[in-house]
Amino acid sequence: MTRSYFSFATAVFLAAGSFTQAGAVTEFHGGGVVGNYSGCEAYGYLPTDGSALVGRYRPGGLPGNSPTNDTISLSYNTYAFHLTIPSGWSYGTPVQVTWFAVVGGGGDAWVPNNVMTVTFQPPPAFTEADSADRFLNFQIDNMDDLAGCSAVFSVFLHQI
Amino acid sequence: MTGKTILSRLAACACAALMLGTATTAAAQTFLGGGAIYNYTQECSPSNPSITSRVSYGRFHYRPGEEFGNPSEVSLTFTDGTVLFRRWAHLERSNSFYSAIGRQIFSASHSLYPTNPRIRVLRRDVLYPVNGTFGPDTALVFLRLRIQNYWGIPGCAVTVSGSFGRIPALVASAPAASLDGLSLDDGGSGAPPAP
Repeated sequence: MTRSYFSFATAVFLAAGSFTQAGAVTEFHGGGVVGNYSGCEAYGYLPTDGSALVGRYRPGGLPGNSPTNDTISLSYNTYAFHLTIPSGWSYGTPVQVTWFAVVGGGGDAWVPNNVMTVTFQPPPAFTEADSADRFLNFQIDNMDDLAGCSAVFSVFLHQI
Repeated sequence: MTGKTILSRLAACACAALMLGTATTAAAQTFLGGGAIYNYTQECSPSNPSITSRVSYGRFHYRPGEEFGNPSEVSLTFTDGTVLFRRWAHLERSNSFYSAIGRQIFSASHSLYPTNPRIRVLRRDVLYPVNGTFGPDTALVFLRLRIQNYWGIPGCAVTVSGSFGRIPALVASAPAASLDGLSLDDGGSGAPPAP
């Protein structure tokens, strides 16, 4: 178990290194907050819990990125997770996570066993004015592939 | 209005106050979040041609003075240090810059800004409750600041944008006692105990 964790971490590290060297991706960096946990008590998250986080967003279809998938990475104090969803999602409609990875806390990468979805809410109008900004407000259901657990995220990012 | 009604209202008030008191002792509320810092001016690093396209990101903290008493504070935490801005006023949207105090701690450097920062609040928008005004029921708020004399460097200015959530969250159904329960996030606080 330990061994697979380290090998996976190494793979992610190497992959991150090669992305940086390529330097041609279109990426947004920023941070925000997660909270409003629901149905997560058994997994250790209380409804009153919340965390600051930093995040990275690579929308599909932009130069250097996957033509068909968005990737989102969110890092907390204690662990990080990464997810892939098909691009072209629309506000208010749940979109299913197709690939998921947790780094830290004995993490791994897998296709979620539960139907894990991301539902984006429209951002306030002012954030649409600058194309270098992305303001992602979304709920994840079956968060971290934990059945019945959902949480709400609000993440502001700026294009690097 | 009967005496009984008034009494029951008083009882309800006292009960609410007790619950609030318990919640406050268990864990002080604050706003935690994060976001990005960008639009650096060339003065931030005169010899660095890429400084104006730099984008930094981090975890942020916001303490609104109108709710917890002045000062208002915003701190920005990076992997290598922290910057704190403090102002004895509310961080309300404004067309003007106002003087504040800045402090920073970075690797091999810690200082009170020799030149006071000046802050303009470009936006403070309540995201949740939707269409709400900023107040004790605000759960999620977006802040955008333009900060002059950032890093204590005259002429250096940056834009800070971030989303902040009230932590612990206001959850009507959650008994105050649950705040004492085991939380994965308890280890995130590094503040000393209240005097």
